[in-house]
Amino acid sequence: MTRTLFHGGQIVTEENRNPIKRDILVEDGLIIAVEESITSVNADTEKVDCTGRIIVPGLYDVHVHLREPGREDKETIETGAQAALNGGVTGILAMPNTTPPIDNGGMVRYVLNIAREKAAVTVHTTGCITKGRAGHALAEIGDMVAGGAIMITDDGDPVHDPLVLRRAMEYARNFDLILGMHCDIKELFNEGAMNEGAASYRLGLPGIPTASEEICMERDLRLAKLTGARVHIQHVSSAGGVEIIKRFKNEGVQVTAEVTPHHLIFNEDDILDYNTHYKMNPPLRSVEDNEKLLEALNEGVFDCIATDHAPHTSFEKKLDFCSAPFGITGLETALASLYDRFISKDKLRWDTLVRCFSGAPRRLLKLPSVEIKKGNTAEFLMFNPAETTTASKEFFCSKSVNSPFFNKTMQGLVEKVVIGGVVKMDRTKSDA
Amino acid sequence: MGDILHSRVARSTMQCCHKLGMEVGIFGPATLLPAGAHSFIKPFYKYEDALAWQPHVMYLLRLQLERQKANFFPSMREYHHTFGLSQERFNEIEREGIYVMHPGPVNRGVELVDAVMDYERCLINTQVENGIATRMAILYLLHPSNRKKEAAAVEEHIS
Ligand SMILES: [Zn+2]
Repeated sequence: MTRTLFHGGQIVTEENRNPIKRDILVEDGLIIAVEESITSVNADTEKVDCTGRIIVPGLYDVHVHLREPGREDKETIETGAQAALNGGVTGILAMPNTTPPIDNGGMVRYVLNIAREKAAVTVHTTGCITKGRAGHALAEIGDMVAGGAIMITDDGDPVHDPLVLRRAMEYARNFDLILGMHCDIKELFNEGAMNEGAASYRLGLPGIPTASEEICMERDLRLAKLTGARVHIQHVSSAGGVEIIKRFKNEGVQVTAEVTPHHLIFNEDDILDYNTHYKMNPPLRSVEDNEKLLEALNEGVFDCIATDHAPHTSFEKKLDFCSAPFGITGLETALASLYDRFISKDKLRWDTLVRCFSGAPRRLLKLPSVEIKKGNTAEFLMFNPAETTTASKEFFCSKSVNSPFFNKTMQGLVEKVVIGGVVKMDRTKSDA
Repeated sequence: MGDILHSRVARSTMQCCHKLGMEVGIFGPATLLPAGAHSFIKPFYKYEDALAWQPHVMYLLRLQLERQKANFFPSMREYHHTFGLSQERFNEIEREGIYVMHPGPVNRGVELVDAVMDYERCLINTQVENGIATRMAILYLLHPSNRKKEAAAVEEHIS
């Protein structure tokens, strides 16, 4: 029996607006007491001083590209999980657009087996909606569910044919399965590289109109209404998208939605020097969209914060803006960036962050809660708001460094991560 | 069980069963369950739920194999395991003594495994046999000359 007392910290909950002072007593991986002050403990209880630290339930990212199998030069399940741990993300949901794609039960089992052997955090996987993510024929959804898939999505692409999507939505009902929707209209997206507007005109880059996202979202949600399916709208980038989600939520459609840190923080004006670390799909929109997305997050329109962690090699990202691939990494910088830009400036509260980045994602996927309370597994991170994070090459555990935060410094640092009562990441030690 | 949406057998049989005082549930791929089914029909989306309802009879429907191309389900294999009577499911059915019906012809290995056909409470062959007799009788009665004859015979019988 091992006992550890985490004392002096302030814990974040969904119920309290601000972090509250609590000591946490952990025994054999489980939280056995959460009290304002725990003083009477056995002599052999290990003590971890958390004074000045914010203790946050382990984050869960519902949108991660792990690249294995197929592009292990960009990321593997092992390095992706390591990156997650580095950022305080203790659970991740892998997207199925690998090579070959995760579109059958065998592939699901293969990925989960590797995860079981090599991943430092909990790894779940999605499966494709259609075979080969090609949008024509339904994948063996039942077999993927039997293998452990907990969401289906053709992420990276929408399901182009609305009839195929309708059937998938109906069929998913047999498995109580949620569908992840990547919304864009291929024909409108066209050869676009960034948001369509004044900035794209100034830079001479082909644009992607927000209508591409809005039309597809509208279509997908109308089909969700028709079929009664549970759908999750991935990486919403526009104010128009927010309005659509609000409307369908009011109509009682079972829709949830996610927003990424980068769509909250950055916009098209950040691309001024053709930096491909600002190129992603959907693209960064306008400063007004930033504001609207943040407002929607605070109002509860968004259920989840997700990073859309999308590793690419430096070589690929050094290509010209039009040729470089879409996507940036996010697992390792998400929390620090949100603290730096919003929480520290009172634009986002800790309770909203933990609801959207820990509680709600797990509820969405019917996974066990890791909120800090008696009886739960001890899975949390210690965040030091007084320290800073510099996203240097050495800082990243991901194989790729395609991040707009690369070599930038943010206020706040994920200092330690505890999983199953064990300190799995401790920056105070590695620095020493 | 199965393709309720396209099945005339299901549409009429369900109403008939209802009239005879039976409770009716349906189970199949949600793509093949009708949205506008009668309100007395109880839909199930999982086999386990349908079984827990403790039916006395499982009435399987013939799957038109070309439905796969139209994306009503992904594959025969998955259909069989998810919506058909696999060996494991049949073992349980046999233990519970549930009757099995099917309008025929059967797709062996899709709607059911072969063993079901030899099951004591499988009514499929009886259905075929009765079906032929019933069809013969209906055709006979529909023929105008026979109808006259029948009418005369009935009249004679009454008088
Ligand atoms: Zn996507």
